[in-house]
Amino acid sequence: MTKMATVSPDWLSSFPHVVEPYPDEWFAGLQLRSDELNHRESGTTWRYLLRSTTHPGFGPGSALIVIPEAMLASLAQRLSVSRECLLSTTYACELARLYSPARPHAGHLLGPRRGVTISPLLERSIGNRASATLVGFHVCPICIAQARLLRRTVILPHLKYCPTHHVAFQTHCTCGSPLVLFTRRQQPFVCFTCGLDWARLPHIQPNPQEAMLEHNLWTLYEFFLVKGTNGLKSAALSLVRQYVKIHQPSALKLLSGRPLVALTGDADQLSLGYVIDLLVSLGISPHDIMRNTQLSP
Amino acid sequence: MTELGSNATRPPFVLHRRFLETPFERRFQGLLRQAWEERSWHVIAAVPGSGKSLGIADFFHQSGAYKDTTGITRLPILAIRAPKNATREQALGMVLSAAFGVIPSMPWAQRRIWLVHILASTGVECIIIDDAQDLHLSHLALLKELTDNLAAPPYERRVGLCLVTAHSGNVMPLKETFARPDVLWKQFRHRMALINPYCVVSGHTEEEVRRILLTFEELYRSQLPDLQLQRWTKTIFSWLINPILDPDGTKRVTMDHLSRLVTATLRRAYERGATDIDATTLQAVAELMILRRDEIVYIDGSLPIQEVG
Repeated sequence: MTKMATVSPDWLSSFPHVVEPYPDEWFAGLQLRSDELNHRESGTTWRYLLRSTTHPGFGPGSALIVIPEAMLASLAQRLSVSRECLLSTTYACELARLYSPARPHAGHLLGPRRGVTISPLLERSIGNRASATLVGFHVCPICIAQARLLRRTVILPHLKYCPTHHVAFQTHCTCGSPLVLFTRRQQPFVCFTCGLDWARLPHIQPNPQEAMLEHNLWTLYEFFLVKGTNGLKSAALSLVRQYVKIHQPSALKLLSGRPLVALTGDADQLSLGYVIDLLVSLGISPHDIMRNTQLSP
Repeated sequence: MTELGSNATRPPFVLHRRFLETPFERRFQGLLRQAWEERSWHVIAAVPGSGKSLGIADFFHQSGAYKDTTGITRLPILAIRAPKNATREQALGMVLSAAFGVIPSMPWAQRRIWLVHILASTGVECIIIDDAQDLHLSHLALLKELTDNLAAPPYERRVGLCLVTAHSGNVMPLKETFARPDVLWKQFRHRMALINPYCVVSGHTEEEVRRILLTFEELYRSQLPDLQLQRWTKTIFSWLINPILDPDGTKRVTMDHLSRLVTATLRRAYERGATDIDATTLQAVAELMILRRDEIVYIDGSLPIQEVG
């Protein structure tokens, strides 16, 4: 926690209300919190950042996982926090470690982009109000209610329940509209159609099978994001290859519904989301990976 | 005046620019504090060069304003300068907004609502407007609207207002405007403080000048070890209430004139290698300020170095 006095040169170059990220807060969530504290419509900080840098902008399906340096620097000045502090609101460092020496990008987590997110019908019906949305953008109503917090975990693929509160991530409002991250002419953290606060969305518990699956997914994510390296990822993929060689599960469908494809070519560039999808589907745990690493020469 | 043997090794003269809590500033800041504590409305006038802007800046910095990265911002005193050559209310709205920091652009209709939100959420208790003689009627109307909205539910916050103006002669700025028969001005007048709604803060008396000279002595003693400024009090006072420097005949000295005379004299004495000032240097600077104030200097060839203040 830092205090800035009026004599500080940062007084006039920062937003009226400044915030520093909560632990594990997502970059986009921090901006929504900044919008709310500064009494501005949803997405104002984001639009300001896009205009204040020379960055060409993001497409409507951007996942905001890795943020350009210029935007981080601009927001760091406006919030009077360090650039490193903002970097921790993305998965840039974790992905850099897992995919070294390549520069981290959203594809490392999500895989290849699959089209835009706003369907033509929805786009027409809401005009230009839905300015940014994500594939299956979802929130944990309890995280929102407790601290207006969007954790980084909301951008991890395949997770359907909040790993902290064990309630379902909500993708739609009770009125049926999808949740949209940044919406013009609407307050932050509310449905763009009916104005319902995301904190008031239902709390749905998982059944035991779902709970087990979510636990396995989260354990693997934690394993790779906290201590993952390129070598550890390779060890995991070699385990997958061994499994496929021994069991030859030709008709195996993965957790995501995608079929198992041959792990040939540059398997090291498979997205983390896909790697975890493979591991969970084949029942491989962090323990197995560590054991395999120790056995490898 | 003692001359040092050699001034070749002497470093350049250092001018102290720190804020001095002069008797004028105590009177002026006392009124600002009263408006802050009682949330009262005042028009405060003083002659140009008195130190109003410096006093406001010091008062603002001492007010305990801060921005915290937990999201809490406190700005008990909102001090701004009136917009120049801009008659539309948006101009004042922009100046008020800018005092909080960086504000992404927004339509004016949205900004006037936003201003009320931000005034409330940052805990503004008193608005001080410097150079308020430049305010247009539309600006005053906006001030009333904003403060009325703050006073109404859900905020219910009363805010003090100080319109700080430069004045000359016996004319009290803004008094005539508030005396207009329109409802708006009647309401504005009604909001003015019961006690001291219109105040003129005077400059320094001879005794006050003596005390300020004593402070200058302490400030510059490291550079002029034998400095004895106090003994020139009477002379300095009589020069500075000359009708050229005191056209309204207030018989009071402004801080701007006093500090210009003293610092220019000290600089000249220092650059000559002296350790105190003498009558000749003091008189030369005073003449420059009084008699040769509007003198036109033709510059040709190398630039003559001449500095006052």
